[in-house]
Amino acid sequence: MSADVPALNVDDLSVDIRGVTVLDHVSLALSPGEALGLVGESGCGKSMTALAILGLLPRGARIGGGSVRLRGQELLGASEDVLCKVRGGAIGMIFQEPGACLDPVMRIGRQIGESLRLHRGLTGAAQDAELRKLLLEVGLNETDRVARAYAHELSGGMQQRAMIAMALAGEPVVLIADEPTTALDARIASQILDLLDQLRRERGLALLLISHDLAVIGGRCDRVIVMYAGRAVEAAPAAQVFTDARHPYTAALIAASPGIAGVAPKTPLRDIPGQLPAPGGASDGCAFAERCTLARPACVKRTPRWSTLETGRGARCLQYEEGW
Amino acid sequence: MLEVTELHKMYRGRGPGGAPFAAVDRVSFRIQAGETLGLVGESGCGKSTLSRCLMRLVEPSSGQVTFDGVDVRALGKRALRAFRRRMQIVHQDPYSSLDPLLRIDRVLAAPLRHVLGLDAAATEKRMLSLLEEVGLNASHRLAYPHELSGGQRQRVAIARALSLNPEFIIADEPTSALDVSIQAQVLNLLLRLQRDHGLAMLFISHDISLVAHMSDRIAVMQSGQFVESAAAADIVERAQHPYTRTLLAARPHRPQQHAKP
Repeated sequence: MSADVPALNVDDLSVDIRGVTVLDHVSLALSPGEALGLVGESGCGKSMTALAILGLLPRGARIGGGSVRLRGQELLGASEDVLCKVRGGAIGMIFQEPGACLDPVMRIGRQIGESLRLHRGLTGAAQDAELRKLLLEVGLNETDRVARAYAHELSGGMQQRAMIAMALAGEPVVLIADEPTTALDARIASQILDLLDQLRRERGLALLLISHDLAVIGGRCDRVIVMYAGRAVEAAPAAQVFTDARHPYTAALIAASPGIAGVAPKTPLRDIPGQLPAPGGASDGCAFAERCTLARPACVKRTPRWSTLETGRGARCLQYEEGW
Repeated sequence: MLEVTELHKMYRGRGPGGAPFAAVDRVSFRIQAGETLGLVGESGCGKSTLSRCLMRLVEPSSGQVTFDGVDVRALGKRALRAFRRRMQIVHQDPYSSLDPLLRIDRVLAAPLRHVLGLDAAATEKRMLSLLEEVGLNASHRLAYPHELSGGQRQRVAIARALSLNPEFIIADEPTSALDVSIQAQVLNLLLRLQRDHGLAMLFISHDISLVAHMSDRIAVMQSGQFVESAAAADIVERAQHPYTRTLLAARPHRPQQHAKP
């Protein structure tokens, strides 16, 4: 597939739960071989975005508008049959707690085998051969032992590798990784991110990497989208976001992270005052206004629009609009 | 202030025939008043067991713990209780370290009334000053834990730890359940409280960037042992042990400017 055709295209996606807006006009595009980071703190809507893409919204949640296209095919409103083929097929997914996602009473080999049968119709020797190939691809080199193991017999890192193998079993075009390393030690987390990076390059996967920690995934992505309170507030090439953040929230998030803030040890970090907003708490105005050092009276009244700043960059902040 | 010598904790192996293992393996260190020792290591390396041994929440198998000249391991029941006032722990998860059925005023009043023996008026006064010190206000004392955010709960846990005027604080992954913007608030609070009260601190985390930011000295723990310990800057810039170097290499990094757009 040509790199110009987006593997995944989300346009102006909105979701509400019982009348409360939890996703407000979120857009993203993801090309084959590209890694896009979706970053934000609890409740910002990053996981909700992933669930909406997969048609897995929780009860009570409703799509308010927008579109989700996989290689041009609209997924919003698609039948459950279509979505079942897409999930674990063209769109693979891995989550934070591999231990909770793997079936505790089924051997790893059988779980991955089931995916191979379901999505690719592989059985018997062909399934077995493919299973071994996948385990080797994700660095689980003791294929016999791993295939026969139950989830609890594997370490957290190995469980996440098994989850990745299962996601690969459907030959995905897009891989959504929602906090894939949050439950892991830093050293193992780094290995898992290396693996995802390698798979992205070798298979030309479009990778959507979701995390609460910009520091962890910033260095692993081509582009990042920063979310706050259900809205995308900034989109930028990853290489630029750390040195030249355009939204005050992005800048504040970087300054508040000990690893990347660049402040002297034992000196105060520039923290962000106040609390994270409750979902739907802000109706008019910018949700970050009450914590923002640049805020002016207009910020709590007018909801900022998305401003395109230059190629590949944009922010949702009134400072880029007329009359600020 | 705190001196630990050859501290050792053996556990029986798990399951029938499991071999005994040392969760903490002959560890020695000192912490001075006003100083922070950062303890970094991965899950299961023994860092939490070590912290519990210091307060004898877990009984060490051998070794010495001396706090301000007192041999902690020789203390009887009553003396141990009195000693524990001087050393407090702030735990990782403020969701489980606060009783969901206790209103914040009862959480904070209990140690003030029963341990320090303050009367109602003095308790109220001290409670308000504690809340203010950790950045909460008077109205928070009427809340139940579920009505507070994670950051606010961790502030309550810190206020509770401070209520008995401790000299030493163990902060065991105090921010790993918190969002980044809230984490910075809690880290700044700990730094300020340490400065204001001259607290000695043991700051425990699996995140070496975090430990480097908070500590004067760092001890790197692996499989129950200290594999390296030195001034924080020396660990970050001139790590000697290969394990320390792997931890440093796994730190998040900013993307290179020449990365493809």
